[in-house]
Amino acid sequence: MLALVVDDSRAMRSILTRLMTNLGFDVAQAGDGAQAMAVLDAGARPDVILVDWNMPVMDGLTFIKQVRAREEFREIALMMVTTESEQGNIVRALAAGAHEYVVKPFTDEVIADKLNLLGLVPA
Amino acid sequence: MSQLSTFHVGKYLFGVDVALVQEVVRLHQITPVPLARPEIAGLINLRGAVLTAIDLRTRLGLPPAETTKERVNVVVRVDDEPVSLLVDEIGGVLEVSQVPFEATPSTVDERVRDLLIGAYTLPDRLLLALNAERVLDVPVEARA
Amino acid sequence: MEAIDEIVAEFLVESHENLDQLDRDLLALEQNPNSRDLLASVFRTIHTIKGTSGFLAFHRLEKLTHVGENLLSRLRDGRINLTEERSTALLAMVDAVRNLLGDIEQTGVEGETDHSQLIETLSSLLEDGAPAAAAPAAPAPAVPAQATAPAAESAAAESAAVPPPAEPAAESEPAEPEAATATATKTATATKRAPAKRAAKKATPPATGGQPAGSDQGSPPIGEVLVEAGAATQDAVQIARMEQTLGDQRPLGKIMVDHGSTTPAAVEGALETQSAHRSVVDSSVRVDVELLDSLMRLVGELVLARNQLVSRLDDERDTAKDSALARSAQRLSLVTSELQEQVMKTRMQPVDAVWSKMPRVVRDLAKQCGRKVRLEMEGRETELDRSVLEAIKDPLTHLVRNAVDHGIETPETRKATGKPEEGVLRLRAYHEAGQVHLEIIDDGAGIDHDRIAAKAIERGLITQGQLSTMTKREILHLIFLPGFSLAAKVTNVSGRGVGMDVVKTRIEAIGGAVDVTSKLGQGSTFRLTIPLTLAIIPALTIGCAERRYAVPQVSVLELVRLSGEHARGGIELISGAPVYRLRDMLLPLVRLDEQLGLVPMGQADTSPDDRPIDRERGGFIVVLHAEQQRFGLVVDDVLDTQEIVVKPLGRHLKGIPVYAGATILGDGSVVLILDAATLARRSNVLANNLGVTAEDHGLEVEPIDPVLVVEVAGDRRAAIPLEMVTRLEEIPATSIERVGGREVVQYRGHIMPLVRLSTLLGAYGDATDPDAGVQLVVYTRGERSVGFVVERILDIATERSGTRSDIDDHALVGSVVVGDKVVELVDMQSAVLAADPHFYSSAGGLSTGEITSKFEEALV
Repeated sequence: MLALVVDDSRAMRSILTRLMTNLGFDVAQAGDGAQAMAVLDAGARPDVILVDWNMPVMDGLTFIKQVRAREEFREIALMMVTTESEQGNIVRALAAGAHEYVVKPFTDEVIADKLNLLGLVPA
Repeated sequence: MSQLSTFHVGKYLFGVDVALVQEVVRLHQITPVPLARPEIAGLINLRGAVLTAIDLRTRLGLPPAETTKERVNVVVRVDDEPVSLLVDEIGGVLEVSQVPFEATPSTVDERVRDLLIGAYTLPDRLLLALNAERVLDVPVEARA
Repeated sequence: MEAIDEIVAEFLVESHENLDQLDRDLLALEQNPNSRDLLASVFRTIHTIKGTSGFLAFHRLEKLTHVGENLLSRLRDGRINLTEERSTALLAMVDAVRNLLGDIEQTGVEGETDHSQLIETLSSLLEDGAPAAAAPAAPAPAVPAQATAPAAESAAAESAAVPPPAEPAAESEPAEPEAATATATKTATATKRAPAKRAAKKATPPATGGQPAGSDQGSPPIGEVLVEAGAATQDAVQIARMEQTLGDQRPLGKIMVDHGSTTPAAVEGALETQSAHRSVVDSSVRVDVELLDSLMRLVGELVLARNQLVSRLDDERDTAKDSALARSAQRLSLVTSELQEQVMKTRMQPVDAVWSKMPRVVRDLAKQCGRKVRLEMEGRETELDRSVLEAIKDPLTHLVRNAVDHGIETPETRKATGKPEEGVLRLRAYHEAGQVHLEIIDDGAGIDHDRIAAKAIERGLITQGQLSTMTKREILHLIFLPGFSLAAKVTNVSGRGVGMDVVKTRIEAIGGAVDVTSKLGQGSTFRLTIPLTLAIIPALTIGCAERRYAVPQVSVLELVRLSGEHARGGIELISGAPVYRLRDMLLPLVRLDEQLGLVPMGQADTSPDDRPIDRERGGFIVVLHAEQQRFGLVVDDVLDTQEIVVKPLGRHLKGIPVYAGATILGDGSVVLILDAATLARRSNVLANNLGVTAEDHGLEVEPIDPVLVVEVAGDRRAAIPLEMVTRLEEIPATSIERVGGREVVQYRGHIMPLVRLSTLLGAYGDATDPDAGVQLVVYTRGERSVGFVVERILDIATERSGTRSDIDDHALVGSVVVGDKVVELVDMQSAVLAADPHFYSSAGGLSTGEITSKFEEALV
């Protein structure tokens, strides 16, 4: 199973990558929404995308909207990664087409639960 | 031009218009500039200003000095940029208005002759009047 | 738990980078408090640090940044304005964050510093005018006085430490001055983290949000403003003022709003009027530019003297350590730095000073030419030295006019070609690597190469023969030739003698460069790269061949020591070009001694068998970034970092591009300053083993992410992104085995599948000599490796000339020109899969998409 981690912070990408790797995912990374879009355009089909809210170039919300606007990406699960200070955004993210969200900081268990809810049970 | 600042380079005695000479200094340190033309001796620190020093021997096509004696900076100001001329030894300031002036004699090396205005015949020797502008007109392009 | 340590290290590096940017952004914000871009960027940085620190269990950090984030999010959303005290508090927070990061770096844990006061200060600034109003009841005041102190004293203390948060000028009665003095010392803790330079900033209140300072003699009282604006009656003001006199701590405006005697909007407006008034009357004076220049020179000398003094004292450190002289020197040093920074700032102006005239230029010209143009500007706050700004004014105006006149089509034409009627002209400015980049981008017709070529021939600028050998890029650059004017008809807009050639000369005269790219039908981009020309810069002094040189710190990324077994033996040669493997990146190297002609080129490190010698010698690699490339400068020694005063070189040395100037060090010696950009271009020349570079052909080149250029078969060349090159190997041809129709080789205990790029690209080389070695480019991800068989490794290219053309072949994604040769861009994804169809399904590395996107990043 492949996860795509989209976050502008290198450290944050490392953290999320480690988390997802521990859960048995293969992980690809992108530094913002536009890069992530390019990864998808190039043919990658991750099972889930973890996307940060606040990024330069293309923010998480725009990215979610763009992914949702494309038929060929409909199988991809979208998970918004946000913080409690951005809770108001969760509704916007879900309305834009995100399937789930997690609030930073979160533990392996929390994200595993969320993934289970999405029917993603990695090997 | 009635007064010349004089100095020695090799066997020659040269002079430049005293009005162009800003000062004469002896400095220990000179920073060579790699890639510059051989005429450029390097950079000197003159009270916080960085000046280019031109090796007058090389400029005149003369062989390098044989002694290791410290040379003297004659700082001349042309086009508002002070430049140092490295000479072997400084002479005095000479009043030349009464001294006979002639075109540069053909006995002088051609390379040197190009850079002269003319020569004053002092009782015991020739004083070669340098065309400071032309001396400073070292081709600009880098060597490498 | 090594992985965690690595993440922490990464977090620290990233945060430090971000904080430096943040400092700059916050200061820029003071000049331009409403810039949403800046606010968004500042917010994002703090947000990122907060989010990450939560995961890493740095709770103090998390708590502190959390409050900062709250404040910033309100600022960003425009709910509150950036006032002086907010920015002071934010800067104090940045300092505190930096200290925390420093502690973590040194000890691995957060220190014990108490941030509760700072946190309270930040919280208290969340609301406009809140602190004083809430003072008696809530813990909101920025600086709680001792619990026993009366509330009034607490509020007074606050106004002594920082300007009162929301007291309109000249309205508040000073509350018990004695109390204020008495408690001032207690409050010092709240502001002490804000260094002097920030305090000095207070002289320039931001243009909006202006909550007031007691010293504001020049601005009219807010009550007056309100009355004058007809937003309140004189009586209402009187009543409110009386309440203040009776001890109401609320700002006058707030009292009046609460009374319903005026509206919040009116107060807002009045505050703006006040601050506008103030900014004209109080906060600026006109200074003769010559005075600034002379001030600058004097500061330069002062820095020099300071350096000399400090270097003397360093020599006698043991005896002078505790002396009063040393302490004085220390102070002198600090003050000098501050002074220098401030003086430099006086010379910096935002590019907006020139840009602000553009909307009018565009509007008038568009009208005149019958165009519809929308002007967008990005990076208005980017600052340049005023002399530079002055110099770019005309060229910039010309380029803008040109874009409107010749770039953007008439609405009818645009409509006919399916574009929106309104064209977009975008101005972008940003700082990168010590230079300012200005871009003028239009979405117009683009530049027609054929028309340019025809014109150039017609004008006798080139011959038909020359044309046949020119690349598209070269043709495009013909527009910069004197005597070239593209206007089909001479309009009174252009054609006034100011041509592209003048633009080019002017920009080059200040040490800049002009570039143009264009796509027919889609628009053109003119790109100006301009030096900052700051007279005092931080620099790294290095040693090379017994001499010292300075490298501007702005270009320095890191230092790598070559010592012991990692001495110069760690330098590899790729077809004669030295590279160093730095964290799995191949770093092209430039030897300074070679560049300066102190040793013969290319011989220093090589023995006839093409292996580096001189392994024992130590030294350093200074990793530099310039001209959008990263490369290593090999030097003997790294000595010091210090502020240097850039002195221009005399006319005799101006022609040597490798020097950016000279400086005088503390010991009085003159040291040359190296120009990183020139060295970068040299690194490319070196890396380009073809011996012929694009630059030699007079082509303008475009930087790309580094690619390894290989020869595939005969003359065909292919490029592989350097990031996908793990190793270069030479194996005997006889070691290749065949397993089920595939070629494989034993490699580091595994079976590594091979793919011949020649076969993949459908090229057929000569039969290989079985005795000869086979060149392999190995790509490893996790446990898996594949080997690409190539005929020869040629070089590393970091720039291309001409444009990229897309090819949709089965194994290619396009081609570019490197040097003067066409190089094919291998579709790495299919190349990897051709060797090992299961490569990506099991390797936990990049996704296939990411590989393709690497090329996109590299070549766009």
